[in-house]
Amino acid sequence: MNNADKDFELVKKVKAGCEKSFEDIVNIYKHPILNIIYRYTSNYDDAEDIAQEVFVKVWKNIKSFKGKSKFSTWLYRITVNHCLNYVNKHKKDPISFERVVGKGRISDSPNSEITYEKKTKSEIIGKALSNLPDRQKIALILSKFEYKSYSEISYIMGVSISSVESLIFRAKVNLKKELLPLREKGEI
Amino acid sequence: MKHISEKKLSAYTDDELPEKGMIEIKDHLKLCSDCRKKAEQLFDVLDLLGSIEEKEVPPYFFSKIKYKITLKNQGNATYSFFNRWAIFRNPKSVLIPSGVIFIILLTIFMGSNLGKIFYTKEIKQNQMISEEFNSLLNISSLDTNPEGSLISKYSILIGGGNE
Repeated sequence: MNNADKDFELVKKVKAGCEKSFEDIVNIYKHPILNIIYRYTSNYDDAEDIAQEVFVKVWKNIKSFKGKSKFSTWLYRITVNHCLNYVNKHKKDPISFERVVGKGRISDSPNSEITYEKKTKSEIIGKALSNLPDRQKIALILSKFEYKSYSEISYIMGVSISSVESLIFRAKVNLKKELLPLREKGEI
Repeated sequence: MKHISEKKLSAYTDDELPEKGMIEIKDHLKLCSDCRKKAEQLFDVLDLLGSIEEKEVPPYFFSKIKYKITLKNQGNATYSFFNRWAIFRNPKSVLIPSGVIFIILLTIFMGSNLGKIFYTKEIKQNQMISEEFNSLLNISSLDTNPEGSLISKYSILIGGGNE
């Protein structure tokens, strides 16, 4: 039985109200979902909270899942919507938004050299990723970390495949401009 | 030699081109150092992204989800209890017409009461004036020459009165 079939069986049981099957679904997907959101928000506490909300939504809306797509695709779609809503909420609160996405691109910071010394390579790259525009970031995260095809990403994000191609391409170009000079300097 | 667009190279680094396209680009990169450099840079970006550490899921993750579900269910139960009445579903739809009706009724009530008060007051004033006038002219009696009145005194003076 492949993963999609296994998911399908679990979903059927969850629809019938089986809490144990729901727990199994949570255990299968909690790690990727939490990490997608963490890479998106750069904030672990917020990521945990949003990931929980995603699964609460799955439990509440499982009956609306008709099985036209894979369960994982439906789950990722909910996750993406929660990520985008999170940013919309925090845009209204400038302090929180800065905390989430930083005050600007890393290379714009006047004391960038001092900052880089203090930060680990992972943090610098993570911050560069979180500074990307929302849709570029989510498309790249799904492609690079979740190994989703452009076609799946287009379904999850509700855009065309060529849009996904453009989003990922622009994300890579932005990261290239930001990260490769740092690597040449030996800072990452 | 025609260079390959960076967008196409990006799709190539994600293995997202059809098999024929992948082979064509692979062959081209063997010959073109410019395109090869661009492709290497894109691969480098992907490698760097691989350095972002993964986070572990915190303990009691499922318990927290269950707790949130319970809270939401309680909230929904309260919601559905109050949701039976339109005033809780959409307070404006009920409160605005009710307010208008209340103001109209209040105006009618006030108008009627004020009318009554002024009418009674006016009647009392009229009565007082008429009583004052009557006592002054002493016309409370229906006698033709009431005792003590001017006409009786005049009658006595000119004709010896009634006696």
